Amino acid sequence: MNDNTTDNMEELQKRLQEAENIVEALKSDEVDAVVSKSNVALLRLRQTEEKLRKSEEHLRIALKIGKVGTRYLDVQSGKIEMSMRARQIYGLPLEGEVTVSQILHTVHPDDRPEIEKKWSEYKKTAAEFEKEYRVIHPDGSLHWVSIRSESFLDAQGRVNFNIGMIKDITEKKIQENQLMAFNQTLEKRVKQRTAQVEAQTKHLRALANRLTQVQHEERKRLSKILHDHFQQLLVGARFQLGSIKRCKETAQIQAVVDTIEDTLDQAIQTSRSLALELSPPALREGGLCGGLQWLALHMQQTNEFTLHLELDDKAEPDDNNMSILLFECARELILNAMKHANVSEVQVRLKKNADRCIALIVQDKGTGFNPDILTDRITEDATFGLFSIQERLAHIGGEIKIASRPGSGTQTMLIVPLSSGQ
Amino acid sequence: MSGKSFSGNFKEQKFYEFILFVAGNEPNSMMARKNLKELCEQELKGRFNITIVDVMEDFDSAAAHNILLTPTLLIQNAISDIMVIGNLNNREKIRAALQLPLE
Ligand SMILES: Nc1ncnc2c1ncn2[C@@H]1O[C@H](COP(=O)(O)OP(=O)(O)OP(=O)(O)O)[C@@H](O)[C@H]1O
Ligand SMILES: [Mg+2]
Repeated sequence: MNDNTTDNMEELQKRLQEAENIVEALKSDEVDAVVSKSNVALLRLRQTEEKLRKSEEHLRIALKIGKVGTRYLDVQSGKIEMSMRARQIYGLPLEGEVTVSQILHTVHPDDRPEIEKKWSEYKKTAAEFEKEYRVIHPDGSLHWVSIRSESFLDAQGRVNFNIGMIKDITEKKIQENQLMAFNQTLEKRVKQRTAQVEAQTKHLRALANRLTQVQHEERKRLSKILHDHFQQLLVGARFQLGSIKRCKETAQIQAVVDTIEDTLDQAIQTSRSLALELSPPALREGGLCGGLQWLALHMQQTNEFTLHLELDDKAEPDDNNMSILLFECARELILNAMKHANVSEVQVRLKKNADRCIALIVQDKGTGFNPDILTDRITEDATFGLFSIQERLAHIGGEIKIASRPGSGTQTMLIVPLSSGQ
Repeated sequence: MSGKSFSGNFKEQKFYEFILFVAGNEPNSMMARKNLKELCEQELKGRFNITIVDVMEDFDSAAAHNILLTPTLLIQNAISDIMVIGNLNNREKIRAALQLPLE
């Protein structure tokens, strides 16, 4: 290779590099003007046109895809042009001139100050603006609007015009709000439910305590009867037996034996009534109806308390366990009437329901009470009777219904399946 | 040869002659002016001379130097001139053209 060729090669390479630099500079938007043979051509106009063309294209595409309207503002003259779609979105007349105050008038009063401020700033700043706000149509309907606007500068760097893309996002907003409302109610419900469960747990715990206490008291009562009464009688009998040894005369002995006989009779009587109270044989032998009849007799004799019975044989449970359960429940209800209702009689009805259920109804005409206290009651003063009935019935698929009001008596209905199925 | 041209001593003494071709107060031209001024003040204290040519007013000068676009920075050298086209926002690009050491 001679020098000439090398020079040419270098020259060529340099030219190539220069050309590349020029292309790159043109692409980079870093140049202002092209200097041709005879004049200088500013590139800016072309750039702006290009930018505008591009944004116009964007708008056209956006218009096609979404429900987008356009708003054009000539910042210097204040003239506004609005597309048909934009007018629809704002609820403005579809023809004629549109003014700023007309547009602002459509904006929801709460959103208006910010939008108004924005309009007053278009002249000063070219910053892009994006916002979602509410507009109200002439028919009073509320719509959500999203706007994205951009300003374009003139040769002197002043804001020339501003283009806004406007979209109706009402549907989206409704969905968002529904979702939010749904989440809120869900949260509220979860809270309520949690509170309920917590209250129930507390209630149950208190009742469990009460149950142990009741069992303890019952044991104390039994041991008291055994100790104070039964044992006394037996001790007395044995003491009297010992005194026989010291007797010399038959007449004396006869008298002591009579006393002992008497004492033992008393002991037998005591143990029998205790056994009866715990589990009346009438219940075992005569079923629920037999048991209730015995209870009526027993209560009349011991407490002068009257049960008016109305018992249907066909309602007699097949299952002995069911009989015992209902008997115990009935006894609690009758005791409640005795304790709380201030009456000396109650009505007890046993009947068969059409839907293969037994209903046991205990009714008094006493003071009555508000049944709500049972569920509202706080743990400390938890009572046991009615709760225990409710729990035991629930266990076999039955339920308790209390109808009562202060001053107008109480009717409690127990409903259980005819056979417990167990 | 290259060893010599990169010696600290030589660098100290080197003087830069710039001609910046601009088009009026167009944004990129203004930017180039500002960038060049900053670079010279920060890195070439007292070792530069800038001539600014507005092609809108002095078209002939642009043509004489084969200027095609503005802004263009012409770094004049004894052997051949170097051209940097654009607003000079990229400081490294000029530094490379001036053969300033990397920072
Ligand atoms: N027949 C009734 N008439 C009036 N008030 C009643 C009647 N039955 C129940 N109540 C009211 O309902 C409350 C709850 O009754 P519940 O049987 O659960 O408890 P209790 O009888 O007070 O105590 P226990 O745990 O010993 O049964 C009673 O304290 C009383 O205030
Ligand atoms: Mg009770």
